[in-house]
Amino acid sequence: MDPLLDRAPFGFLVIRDDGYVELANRTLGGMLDTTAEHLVGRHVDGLLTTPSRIFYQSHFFPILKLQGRVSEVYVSMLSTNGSEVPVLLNAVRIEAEGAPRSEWAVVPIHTRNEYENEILKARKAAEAASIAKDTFISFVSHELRSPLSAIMGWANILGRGDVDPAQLKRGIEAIERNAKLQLKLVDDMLDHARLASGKLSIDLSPRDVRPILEGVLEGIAPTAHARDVSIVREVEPGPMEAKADAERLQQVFWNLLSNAVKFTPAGGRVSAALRRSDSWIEVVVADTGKGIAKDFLPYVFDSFRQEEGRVVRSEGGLGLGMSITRHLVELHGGKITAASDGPGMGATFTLCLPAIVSIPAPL
Amino acid sequence: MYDRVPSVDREAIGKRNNVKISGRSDGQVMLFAHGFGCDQAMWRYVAPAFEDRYRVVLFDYVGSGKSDWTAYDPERYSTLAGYARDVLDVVEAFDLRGIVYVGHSVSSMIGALAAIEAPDRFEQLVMIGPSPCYVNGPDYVGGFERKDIEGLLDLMEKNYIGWAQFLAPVVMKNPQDPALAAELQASFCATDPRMTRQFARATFLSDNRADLGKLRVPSLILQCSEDAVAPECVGRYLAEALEASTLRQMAATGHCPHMSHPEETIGLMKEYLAAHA
Repeated sequence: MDPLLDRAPFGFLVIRDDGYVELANRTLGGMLDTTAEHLVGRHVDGLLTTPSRIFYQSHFFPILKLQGRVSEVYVSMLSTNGSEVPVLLNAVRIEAEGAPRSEWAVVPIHTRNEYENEILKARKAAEAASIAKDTFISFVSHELRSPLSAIMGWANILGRGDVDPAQLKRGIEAIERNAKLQLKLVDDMLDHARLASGKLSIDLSPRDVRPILEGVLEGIAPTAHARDVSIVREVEPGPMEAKADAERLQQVFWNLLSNAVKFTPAGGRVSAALRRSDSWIEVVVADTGKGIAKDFLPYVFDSFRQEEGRVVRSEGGLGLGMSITRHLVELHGGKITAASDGPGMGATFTLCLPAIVSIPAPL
Repeated sequence: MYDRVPSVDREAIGKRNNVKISGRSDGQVMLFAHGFGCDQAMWRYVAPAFEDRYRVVLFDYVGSGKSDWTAYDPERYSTLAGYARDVLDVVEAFDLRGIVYVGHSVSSMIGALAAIEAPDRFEQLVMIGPSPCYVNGPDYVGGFERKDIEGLLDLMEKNYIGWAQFLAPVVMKNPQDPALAAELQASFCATDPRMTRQFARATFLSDNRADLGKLRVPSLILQCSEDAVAPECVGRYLAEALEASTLRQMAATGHCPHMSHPEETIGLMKEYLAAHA
């Protein structure tokens, strides 16, 4: 080989149509952690990663054969130590004396590869977000329509005027119930929009967390009772003061407890613990309900994510609740985590708020 | 399977699937179906060898080559059944019968699905580098793990970011530009990234093992040596699972023997067809 080509600042390779290496330069040997001599006689499949092998066979080789050249093809080669070497290839095919072969120029692109990986990752994330938003819009339309249909149906019945008092009462209750449901959906959407744009402000002042949690437990008790779900309180004595927005913290507790009750079958149990842990106030809501699949666990607090569209529809809600909850906890300077051993194994949500450390008054 | 074309619309299907017919007009039909990643141009080293005796029919799947890409339906082409429907549309529109079907790679299984649905139309199937399932299973070696297929999809994406070969989307956006259109005409295996990505998923994540027992049409399996896409154990699996199949191990290496070793491919096909005439 020409010494110039042998030490050129790019890899050079001559490959027969049957895929065997006829010639390689010293630079390529170095790139693949071996010598040029060791590359000769090897099959191209052994020099490429598995995905690159498929791409070579399905795209690269047919086009090279038909067009006589390919340029700027990205593949990953394999060095002898097993690491991947991302490269760009230009290749030409030469039909000479009945022994066609192709000549490859191989340029390693480590930095550019990392940059392109980032582009690819960002594009995938954008595509996933776009799909999730489309799904969300269809959920919203469905969820907003259901209570409206009920309201309109009852308004129509009551408008006829020939209803007895019992029917009138039932109708008004149904209208109120469905209007409240719709209000909750709209509130969730507004909260989500405000949080996303950073426009949700909260009013933090020293509060005792205990009565806020107990108020929510009182409020959820009738629903839990109706669903035959028992509620267990594990509240430690002592001060539980944190800087909090009482209304928003109530919303957080309500989201956690109503979810726990909603996803726990009859005969199940929901526990709510309040305790002091170092400089944190810890609230742990655990249930014996449907649990969370391992794959979905990292996305529990994401917007527009639903584990299963079918289940969400049957349970009601837009699936924004947990995303709002996390944002609200973070606005309080706290953190929230979810844990589950999998479907059917229940779930545990642990919320930590920074405690106000009371300094004893000087004697 | 998808609904049949409402009427025998030869011109529409001919245009949609870029159908090209050559050879003996009174000869037996030999229908060639290209594999994933390319188009009917890949048959140029093999198909002419059969034109003296056969009526040779070539076509592109919708989304590949010079087919009508506006006819692309993401739902239909999300599974191999949609591609088998393309084969049957061509078969019905051109009233093809007594067919010798030649499929490369994924088109082997697409042909099998078509022949299961319309067995009376097909005489023989020639499968070049076939695989009924590419991903390894508990009692099955397909050659790949799922992460390999995900890696392939990423690799394809990266190549579509800057690869001049894939100029087709540019042409699609500028259909009036004669220079671009001429460039596309002169190019091979032009493809739209979205459609190819879906074809890759439909191909490499398919599992047609359960369909093999339903195929009654005799088949020739051409198994390459050192095939990185369809290993030899897959060829043996198919030969055992398919009724009336003949497995021929080729000296040819790689996954495209009809392009790299056309003489051996033509020879084995002729030998089989003569013996099974």
